Amino acid sequence: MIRRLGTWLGLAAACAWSLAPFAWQVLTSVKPQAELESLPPLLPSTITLVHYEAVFAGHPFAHLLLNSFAVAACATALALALGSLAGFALAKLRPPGRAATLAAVVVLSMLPPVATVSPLFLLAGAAGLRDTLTGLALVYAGFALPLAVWLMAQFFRSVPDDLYIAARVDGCSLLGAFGKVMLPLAVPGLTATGLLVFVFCWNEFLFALTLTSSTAARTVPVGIALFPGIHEVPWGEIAAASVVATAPLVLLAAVFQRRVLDGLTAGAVKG
Amino acid sequence: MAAVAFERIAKRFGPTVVADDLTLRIADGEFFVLLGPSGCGKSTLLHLLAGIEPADRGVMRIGGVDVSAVPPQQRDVAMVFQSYALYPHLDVFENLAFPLRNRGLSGRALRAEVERMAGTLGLGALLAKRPRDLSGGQRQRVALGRALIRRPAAFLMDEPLSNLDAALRLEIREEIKRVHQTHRITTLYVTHDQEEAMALADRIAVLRGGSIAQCDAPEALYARPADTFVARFVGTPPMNLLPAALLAPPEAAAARLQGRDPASVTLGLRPQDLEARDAGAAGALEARVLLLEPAGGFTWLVADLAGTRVKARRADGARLAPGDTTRLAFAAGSVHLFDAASGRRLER
Repeated sequence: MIRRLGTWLGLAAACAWSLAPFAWQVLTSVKPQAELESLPPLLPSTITLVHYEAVFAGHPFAHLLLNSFAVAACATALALALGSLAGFALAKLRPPGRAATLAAVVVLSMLPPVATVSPLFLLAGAAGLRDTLTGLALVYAGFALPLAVWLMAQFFRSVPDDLYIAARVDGCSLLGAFGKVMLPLAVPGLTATGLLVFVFCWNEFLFALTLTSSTAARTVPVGIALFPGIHEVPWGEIAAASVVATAPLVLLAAVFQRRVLDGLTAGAVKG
Repeated sequence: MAAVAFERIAKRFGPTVVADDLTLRIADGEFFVLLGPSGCGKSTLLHLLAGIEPADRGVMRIGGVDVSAVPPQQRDVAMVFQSYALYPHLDVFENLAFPLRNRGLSGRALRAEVERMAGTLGLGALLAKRPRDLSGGQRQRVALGRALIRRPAAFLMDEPLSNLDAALRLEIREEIKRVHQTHRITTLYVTHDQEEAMALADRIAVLRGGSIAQCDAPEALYARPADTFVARFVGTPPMNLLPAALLAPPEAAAARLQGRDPASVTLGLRPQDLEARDAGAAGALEARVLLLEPAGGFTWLVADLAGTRVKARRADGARLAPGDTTRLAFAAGSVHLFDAASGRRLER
């Protein structure tokens, strides 16, 4: 009984710890302008949606959301396509230098973005991809790829070799076996990897700031950071925009929660 | 249907030699068993033939055609696995249909083929189920059906009975033999279980360290093992191997050593041929009883014979107990002789 109580208290503390900033953000987004910078009252006296209206009316926020979504979706699709092919090859085809390749993939995924931001800036300029959605999507896919390759290799490794052999013997080409047998069995892995990559792209700030210069390709995090005017910081609008930007992620996580959990623990136990 | 041949195949994984200049010819319609201890690379030979792994050297032929460079999907072999390897995301119908769909069959023709196959294997009621909802025996029947459905040139079976419990093993073993008798598809069957091999095979190749210790019909393998490895591997319980020097002159005469130096000869005696008698019996080897294993109609008995553990048979074990002295007798014709140094069989 005491133990259960302890568990619950621990869980409650952890939830409070991680939810408090978000709760604060939500509160701020619905507070009337006058109460924004004073601490009592903690809870707003009336609930107002003016900040939300301002976000969509005063800024090209819908456009930013669309940009963010397009970039994250394309980058995720690209990273999944390449990552699952590479992961499949590394896990099932025994290419020479397999261990070295996987080690290199891990090392690459540790590389801090700051280390590559200026070369990528020059490269994007040279390729004419500066301030384009394509450029940003390519960079994100590149950054997410090591993680995607590594995760997908782990997922494919948990699919028994015999299934791949059976598919080949039953008349599938290499890619046929990949598409008809291996990929359907790696769906939990694809979901988990896709979600991680999508969240990374959605939240990314540094590249989005350096590689974009107008609303043509600007994404939500950079857009929000540029809200403050010369004389004032519009806390209410920033909070409202953050809540709107977080909502899709919460929704995605809620929808795919089961699959992601299955995916992240797949291969841990031999089934 | 087709003959299958391995010609001078070599394959190694790092330090493990899977095949070293291995040559095997399997006749059209033959049931051929590759028998060897676990982990000796028998399965890899099947993967070589299926085209999943490339051989380091040598040629493989199916129906006389060199298939070494042919990709797996065009080799026209089918495989049955120890793990069943059914596609978990497809139901039984789609598992059976899978090889046919890959060959472009669809619609009514496909359905008819699948239903006919399900009928012959007693799977008719299971077509809509997923593999995880099936028992082990049902899964292996589905796997057999999936392999059989497109009438391949050759069947490759990789220890298909090893995951089944004892009763099912016998049932599926009969099913495999029935399928072979009905369709006469050339079958290459890998196992470490000599009893399975004896029960199924037209011919057996005993593998050791990447080469063939002996290749023969089951009866010949049992009656005339080529060396002590095969002698110990084929037959249950394994053959007793004893130094010939243990024999007193009368028994030596009975074993017909024929002038060979007893120190250079190993005797092989199957436990079935070694009869344990009461202590008083004359003209036999004296041994001390260590254990008794009742086997129903008779009793197996493990005894210590001058420091060597031997297994013998006794028609009735009731009057013997561990620690008793017994006398082991054998018929002259049942003795196998092997060279003590090389282990090769000595002909008499």
